[in-house]
Amino acid sequence: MLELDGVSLSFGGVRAVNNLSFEIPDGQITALIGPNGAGKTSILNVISRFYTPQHGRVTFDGKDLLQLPPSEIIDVGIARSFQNVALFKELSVVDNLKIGTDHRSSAGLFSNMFRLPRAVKHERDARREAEEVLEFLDIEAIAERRSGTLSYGHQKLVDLGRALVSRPKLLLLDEPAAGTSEGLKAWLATKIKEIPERFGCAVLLIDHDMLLVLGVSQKVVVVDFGSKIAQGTPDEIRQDRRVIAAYLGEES
Amino acid sequence: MMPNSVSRLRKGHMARRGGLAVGFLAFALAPVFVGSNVTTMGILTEAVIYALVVVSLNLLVGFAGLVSIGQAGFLAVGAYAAGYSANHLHLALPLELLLSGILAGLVGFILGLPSGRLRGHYLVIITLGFGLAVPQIALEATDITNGFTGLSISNTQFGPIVMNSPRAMYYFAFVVVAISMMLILLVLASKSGRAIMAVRDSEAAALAMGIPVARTKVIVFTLSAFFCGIAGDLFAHFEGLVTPADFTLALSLFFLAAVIVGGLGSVGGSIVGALVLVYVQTRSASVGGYSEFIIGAAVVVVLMLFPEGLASIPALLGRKLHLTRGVGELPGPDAAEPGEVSSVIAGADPGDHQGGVNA
Repeated sequence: MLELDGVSLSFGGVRAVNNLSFEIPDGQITALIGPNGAGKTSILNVISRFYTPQHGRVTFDGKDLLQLPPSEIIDVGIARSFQNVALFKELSVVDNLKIGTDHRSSAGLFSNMFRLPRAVKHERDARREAEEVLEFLDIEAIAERRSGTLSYGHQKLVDLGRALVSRPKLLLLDEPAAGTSEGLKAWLATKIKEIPERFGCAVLLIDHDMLLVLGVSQKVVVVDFGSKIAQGTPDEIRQDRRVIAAYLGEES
Repeated sequence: MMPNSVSRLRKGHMARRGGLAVGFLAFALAPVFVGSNVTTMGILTEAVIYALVVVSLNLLVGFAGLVSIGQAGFLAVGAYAAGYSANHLHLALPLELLLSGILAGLVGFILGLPSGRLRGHYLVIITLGFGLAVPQIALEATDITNGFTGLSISNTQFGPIVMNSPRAMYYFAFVVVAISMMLILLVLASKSGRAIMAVRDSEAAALAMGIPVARTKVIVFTLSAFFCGIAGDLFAHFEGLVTPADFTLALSLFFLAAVIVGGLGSVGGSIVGALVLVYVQTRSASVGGYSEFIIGAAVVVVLMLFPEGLASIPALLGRKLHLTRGVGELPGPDAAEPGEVSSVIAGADPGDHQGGVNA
């Protein structure tokens, strides 16, 4: 469904992504791994259109993503989380999630101001869908809390929930478990595993926690210095010499 | 544990709604108690009109994070539209109010166009220039504004009702302001309102959630100017005379002070802020030139006591009385392993989330 073809991205003289090609298949969890500074988040920022690559093509279901502004990426069905959580911190948790559903409402300012039927219907739907995702993530109890006052672990969950509630076809997760406790990490791994079936979407997971990545994904793409150095099933990656040298060797 | 905390939060909602209802009733019934006092009715009418201006300014400064110090400019556009209509067009009152709002909204739209790309200081300068330019233009465009002399409005009439008493004028302003505030609250509690606040909190996340950031900023400028224009219309009817000297930089700063005293991002706070500052202004008028000094001192005192404005008092009281729980003792996925919660907090530094784009 998502295809990167020969993508290169430079900042000044620094090459963040180098002639990178890979594909994310439908309905699966694909992991993108690599050491710190390998260019993982840059790739994610290319897909969500925060960065425009100098070379290459990015297509999603045959559509050229590079023709779209960042605010229209969610409309084609791609939602993302943020590595350092970028919540709407003055808003409640449930409002953060409602914003994840808002792109689907056609109600404009006028409809919203006068609570015309479609605005009322959207508010109802948004609330219900937000509650479903809150329940999935087991955070209903903090629904009305101001998100900026939450612990980091809870903020990570809200960040994930906000992307999930948009009903994406492809969910981009940028280190969803980074900086959280071991207990939450393990719990998150089982939750992420459930996402494709329960929400009918593919997942692109970035993380450098090998245990998390190899445990939940069906396909792994390994990058280093912006280039792909390996690709395969988790079992193949475990045995790949170049991966072990570039990545596992240092980590373990 | 969970249903308990949910009901507590619902209580918070109820309290806020209750506060609005009490405020509404207090303003609606005020003339019953002080209606015979012409001066008090005048002060109250001014406070009600200014409350709408302050709420409209809070849309920009508090809800959207766009600092404007030219709000008196929008007030002037609405006031002159009212004056022109009363003298030349003779529109029915609701139509005239709508026209004032739309004209000011149009000006806000144009002023908002560069705001999508400008931030911080640049936006402050643009709104400052606008606020200073409007009275100058009013002085020069004598065909429309009657220049230095200004436009007078002799009688305010809606159908058979003539608003020739302070009490009638108060109720006229009160009804228009109450309807305007209700519409603003409905917008804020909708997709449109969430988009405005989302852009303020994180532009990167707003974009990723499909919110067109630049367009949202233009919309909030238009909305703010629209309601300020309606307040300007009321202002013209209340004063009975509109002159360029009414719309000074000091007035714009007065509105901004009321926003901050009331609390950024709080409609109720803005109403209280307007009420408090109008009261301080009238009380200090008797000491001549020191009025502005006293207002400034009042602002400093309030902010020293309540850095987040008067709107934060209920929450502070609630915390004092242990009605709300502190951070870190919440249930959630970690609840199964109580020991984990504290390490979640200690696990990483949330750092500065602004921007959110990382290479």
